[in-house]
Amino acid sequence: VASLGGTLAVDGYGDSVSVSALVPASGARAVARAMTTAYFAPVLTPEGFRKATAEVAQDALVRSFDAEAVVRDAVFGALFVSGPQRSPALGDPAALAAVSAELVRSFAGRAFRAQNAVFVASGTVDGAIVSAIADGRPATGEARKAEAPADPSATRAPAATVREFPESGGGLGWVGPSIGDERAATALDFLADYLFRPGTGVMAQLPELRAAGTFLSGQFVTLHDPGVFFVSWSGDGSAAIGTAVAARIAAAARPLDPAAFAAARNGFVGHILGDLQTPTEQADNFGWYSVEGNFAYAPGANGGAGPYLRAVESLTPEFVASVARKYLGAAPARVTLTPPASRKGISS
Amino acid sequence: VSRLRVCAAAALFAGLAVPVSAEGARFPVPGVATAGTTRVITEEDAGAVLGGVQVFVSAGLDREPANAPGVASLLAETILRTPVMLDGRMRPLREAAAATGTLVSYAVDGRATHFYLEGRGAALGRALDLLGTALAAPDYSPAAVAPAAALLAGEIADVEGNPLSVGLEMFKHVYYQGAAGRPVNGTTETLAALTAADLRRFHDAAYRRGGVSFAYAGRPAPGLADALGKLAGILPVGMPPPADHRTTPIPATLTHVIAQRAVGAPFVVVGFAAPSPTSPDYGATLVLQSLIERTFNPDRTTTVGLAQRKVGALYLSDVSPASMVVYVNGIQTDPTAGLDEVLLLTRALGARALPEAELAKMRTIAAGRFGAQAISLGDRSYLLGSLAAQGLGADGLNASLAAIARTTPADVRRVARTYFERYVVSVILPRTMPPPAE
Repeated sequence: VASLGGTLAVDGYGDSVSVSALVPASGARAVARAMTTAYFAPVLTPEGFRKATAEVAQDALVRSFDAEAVVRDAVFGALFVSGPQRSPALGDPAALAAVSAELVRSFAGRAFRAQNAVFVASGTVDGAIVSAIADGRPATGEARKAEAPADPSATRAPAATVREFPESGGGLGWVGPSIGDERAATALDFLADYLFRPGTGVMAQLPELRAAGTFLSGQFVTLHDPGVFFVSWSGDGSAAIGTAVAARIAAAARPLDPAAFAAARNGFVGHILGDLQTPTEQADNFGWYSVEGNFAYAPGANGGAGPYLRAVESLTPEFVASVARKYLGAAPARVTLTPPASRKGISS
Repeated sequence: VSRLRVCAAAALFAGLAVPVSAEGARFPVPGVATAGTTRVITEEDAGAVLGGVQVFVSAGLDREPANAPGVASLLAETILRTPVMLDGRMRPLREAAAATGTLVSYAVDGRATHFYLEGRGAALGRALDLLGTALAAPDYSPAAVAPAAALLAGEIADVEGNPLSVGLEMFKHVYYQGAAGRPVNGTTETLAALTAADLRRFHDAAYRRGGVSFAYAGRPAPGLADALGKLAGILPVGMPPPADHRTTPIPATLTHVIAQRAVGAPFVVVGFAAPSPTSPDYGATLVLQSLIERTFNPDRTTTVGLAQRKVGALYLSDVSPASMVVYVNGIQTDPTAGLDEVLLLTRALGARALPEAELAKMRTIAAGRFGAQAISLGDRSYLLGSLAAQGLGADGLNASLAAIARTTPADVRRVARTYFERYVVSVILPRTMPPPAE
């Protein structure tokens, strides 16, 4: 990929791993072949293992300074008692050191198989690219089938969590509808966009967010069952931001003024389509919805006329408010990020 | 869609493609039209759902008056906050455009302020009308200007915490004599000193019909030509003031600039003069940029962002004349050793020609990298308009690929000798580190 001037990314999530490459069209077939050959029957060498361990450890270290990621992991850990969403995909840097080559080899043999994969091609390619996909390891017995999805994630009464972090911050999280409840899931997507989208969301106008290094983020993560709505923030003014977020979430239980709602829904459609214009964005999006079990519902499926956009068009102020009451009216999981004692001026 | 910001894909193998190869043109050839007397470069894509239009106004840093740094940015932000009428109600332009489903944003660079609108069909035309209203008569009242200034002040603070941005500004300050050498938003002090009268004077001088051009990428939009034609006529006839492109020659003796900021590790930024896109040296410059990054970041399997690279190279063609910076990231590598290695490499490239086989690989990489910069509608339309404004013609994307494809070993060596033997070194140190003794 690098020799073509392309980019390669690997991301791990609770129930999947994504490997995505962006390359010139002239190299797409060769890259499709190379990637599927490598990932459908991985060969683990000592040097490859050493290198991968070092890179993942570095990624985990970088992520440990990302307030949004830290809050997200804590929220998911507080909401789920079992299932794939319970633990952070990357783990903490120290835990990674305990992962052995044998464990990785065993996992690769079970999970990295053609039967478990979804291949997405987008951009300047045609359907013939599928002929470049490698068969991978010959399948025998149970390996002929895709591995069954993990058990539905069990949730529990949300808890309060405190994490040490270089800056003050916090987060809230609620379980939401499954990916099968398309209209309700879309309503929470809309609400997250209306309230929290950087630059345009109503919460983005908070004066506290003008301070350098301060951030606020909110989104609904569409998952097989259930989804998660979570909000995170950090930086100076965290306490005020947290108070404002709680008030806004509570207000979402009341229907928006119809004119404001119509404008926000128009803006939401523009944001969705704008977020899905590059090949990478499209491939990531289609892959995600496939794995979560509802590809047809993927935004952008069937261009500008798929089920997702029809669900958006069906939204009303009353329905969105009812979904907010149902899911965001419950007690949330609360996360507090607190600086180490020395940062707060407390000597020990 | 919000979930994409978190995570995105799944057990997924995405063989993705951009329409570029190292040999020959691969981007669609754009069309050229006029709206009134204004040039429009158009690359239509029936497969796209949206369209994106860039409105370039020759009101960039190179036309800012000496006594008003930051005025271009403050005026652009004020324009986006100017109330316009939509559906019987006055509301700020940004909010009104969003209500039609159209994103509107702006950026100020060395030679232009460019407004970008992205949306669908008729809504895009409607948003262009709204932009025209605000462009013609910005709201200079405190209700629009004060929050615009507050926003820019926050951005200034963010820049101060980013060592690469600080290093870029330090180099530009040394190399560019005019306003192109100043921070795009000015400083906290100069921003606070700007008045409505400053904004009005800059608008009256620089927002002229003769300095406007358009570039469009995306789904064919019915009515777009009419909307652009109307917009083209909204500003007064005339040309903007002359641009200031003066530079200070980089001396043969080493120039060091040192600053301390609230950053986590030392950072070194080496600045060089560089050829413009119309120069015969342009292709070799893009190849050299790729070669430097490839040389110093060979051992990562996955592609990393600017902040995670040991060494990065940026070609700055948004300002005239162009320049290049190479940075050494002290979080990832020893900055002193990294600087030595960068200078060793640039000297070696000037001393002997690259083998053709090695150069062929680098041409392929450079072409792929260039193509990856022109994927979104916003990036594509910006590059089309910007490269055209720099003299590369309407088909600047393919012209750039062609320049890369015809680069020879002698070109690379010549460019290294011509541009890389004189440089400015900017060092950004954490506040906790003492500055080096003179």
